[in-house]
Amino acid sequence: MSGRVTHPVKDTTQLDNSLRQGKNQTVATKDAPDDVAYSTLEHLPGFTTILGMDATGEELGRLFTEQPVLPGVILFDQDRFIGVISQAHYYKSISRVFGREIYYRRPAVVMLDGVTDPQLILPSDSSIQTAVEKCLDRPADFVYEPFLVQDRLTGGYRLCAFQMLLLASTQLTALRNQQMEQILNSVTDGLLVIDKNFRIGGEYSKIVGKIFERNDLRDLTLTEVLEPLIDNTTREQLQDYLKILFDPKLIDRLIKPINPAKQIAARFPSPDPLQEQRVKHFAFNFERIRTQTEISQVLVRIEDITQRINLAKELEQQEAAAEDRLQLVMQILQVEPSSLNRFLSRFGEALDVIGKLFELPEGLSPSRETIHSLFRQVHTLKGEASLLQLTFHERALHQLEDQLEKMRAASQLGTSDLAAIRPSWETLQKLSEQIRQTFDQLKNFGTAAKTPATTAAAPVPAGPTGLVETLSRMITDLSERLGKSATFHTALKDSDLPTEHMDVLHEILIHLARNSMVHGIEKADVRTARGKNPHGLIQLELRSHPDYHEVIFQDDGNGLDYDKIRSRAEQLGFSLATEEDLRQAIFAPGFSTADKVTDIAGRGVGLDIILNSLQTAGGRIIPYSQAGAYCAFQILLPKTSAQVVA
Amino acid sequence: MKLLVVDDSLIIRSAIERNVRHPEIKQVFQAENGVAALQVFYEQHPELVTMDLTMPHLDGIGCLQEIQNSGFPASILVISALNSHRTAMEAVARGACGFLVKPFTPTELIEAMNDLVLHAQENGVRS
Repeated sequence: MSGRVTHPVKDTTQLDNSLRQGKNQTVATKDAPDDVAYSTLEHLPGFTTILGMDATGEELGRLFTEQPVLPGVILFDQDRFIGVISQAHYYKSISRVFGREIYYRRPAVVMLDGVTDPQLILPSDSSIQTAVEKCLDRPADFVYEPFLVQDRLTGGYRLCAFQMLLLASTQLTALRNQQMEQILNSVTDGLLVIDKNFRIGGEYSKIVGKIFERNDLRDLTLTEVLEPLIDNTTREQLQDYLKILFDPKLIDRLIKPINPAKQIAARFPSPDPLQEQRVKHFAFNFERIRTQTEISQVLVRIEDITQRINLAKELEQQEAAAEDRLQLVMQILQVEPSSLNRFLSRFGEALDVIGKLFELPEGLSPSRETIHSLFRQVHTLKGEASLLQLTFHERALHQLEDQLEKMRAASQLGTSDLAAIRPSWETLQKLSEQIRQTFDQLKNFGTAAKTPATTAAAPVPAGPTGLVETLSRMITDLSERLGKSATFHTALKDSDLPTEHMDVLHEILIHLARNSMVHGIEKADVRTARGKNPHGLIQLELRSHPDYHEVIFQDDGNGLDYDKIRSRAEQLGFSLATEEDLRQAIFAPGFSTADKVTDIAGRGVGLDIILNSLQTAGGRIIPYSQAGAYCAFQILLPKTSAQVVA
Repeated sequence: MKLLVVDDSLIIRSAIERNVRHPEIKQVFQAENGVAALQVFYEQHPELVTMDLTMPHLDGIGCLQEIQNSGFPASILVISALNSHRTAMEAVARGACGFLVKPFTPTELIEAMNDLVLHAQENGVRS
């Protein structure tokens, strides 16, 4: 569209010879530029019909008849500006009684007799708005009179009709509204204006509607709009800040730092009540609009920075994952390879078993036994992870164990229960994948390290080299984690232990060591009170017999609390006919006297697993204990026939 | 004009004093806590004050309040870490005319001081 306010009068009227003096012409104004931004009198069309002092009223009348649009003429005496006779004034003059007789034959200038109000002259760079105001300021009778525009550069006059000015002003307003609408519809920022009562003005950018997901903002206050979306503290802070914004005594730049809405989280209800709320992040910026004495309005710019924030979070998570990965590598490097391999292969097996559960046909759920055995598997794995100090595995397995525990306790198993363990399982799968990748990298690292130049520099992982050192490490580690002090004492080396029973010993001794640390060894103050050495002692011995191995594991802690065991066993409905029944009760499935479940011990799984493994290997375990003094386990394992012969 | 710099850290006070090069500011005073600040304020009647919020003895808010009630108008700029929005708002509500967040750069300080001087002139805080 054209933004031009045009009413071109381009032809130069050939004036009668009788208009002898001055520059007698009607002149076009400069063309308005196509650019929509013009808004001064520069391009308002006008007329430069100039009359000399001797032009008569009749000649003037002829001029107005020929050019009905001519608003008036400018009178000059030589170069001296005399005044303007408007068409309206001319007709008013000659309509009087004897008007024609008085004015026709006389010089037109006579018509100006008695006109007292000075002619309105405006410089050409005045804005349309100012011109309208100046014209309207004139006495009521003169409001519709034409006015003069003096060219800023040449000093020349042209006469403009007030109606033309109104037309220009109207078009300009329409244009501005249209531009404003275009701007408000196309800016990517949310723009709105609030008044002193914090009410939102009628005009706001389209994006504002999108941001708040509503379009009925007009006349609501900003805090009303935000109330359901933000927390109370932020809302109160914002309310206080809005008050500050309208205080004219404050310095614009120096109140920006305390804007509490520089970045806020807004919670939107989800259409589906079961789904979580959606969180959007907004950045608010406030610009104060000053009049001379006050802050009349505040322009609010709102940016939806959700994507930016989420991206930053993602980046942070990726960085954290990379960090985790590094930690994982470091942990793996610390672990003795054979223990690690054993752990990882069992870890993989357990994951596969769980994976199979997800493949069960629709409507079929796993049996209680499956869940129970899975739970025990996971529990054992967790113990091993803890022992190997694979904290990532330990944490993830603990979580999975928690969920399996719930499933174990549930009266009926459904597919939704299975779905609940899926996330943990996926985490573990990811971990497994990470380890595979890490191993690959380590393999490459190994290859690289084997090149002659770097052989010497290849780091040797420091870590337990076998079961004995593993136990020692574990006890030290648990001492720290449990805030207890204990020493592991043994004269044994791994090579002294029966190789054919390494697996089962590994499993048993780790369980026993963990139990000793959790249930057995007391805290230093308790030990001191009992008259014991504040440092606990855990011992491991091996005695050789002709046809069997005897392994003794002992701690000088609490000892077994037979009263507690008895009540727990009765609670579980065990029959306790003999002393031996009581001793063996602690090996029953689900038996535990620990009060709390921790990631270290206390879920009531452990000793029953030991017994299982031991029985499979043809062995036995016998506890000896004195309450408050010690607890020892005698483990008997058969020698193979070859060993017996030897 | 006279400027009073109130901060319990000598380093911050020196940093402010060193960076104040506004031609209107003829004299700079320092105070390390609210009580000392009021003493200087009543002796010198500075038109400009920069004020830390957390200080031993009388804190910034209390000090602001007292200056506001003193009958000697001054343009006060709070220069403080933005630990709590509430305190910042309160400072502004008690008559501070702006807030500069610690840590600040010399440029930020100079701009803020220019704003402060302008504020004092516009608001007819004595000359």
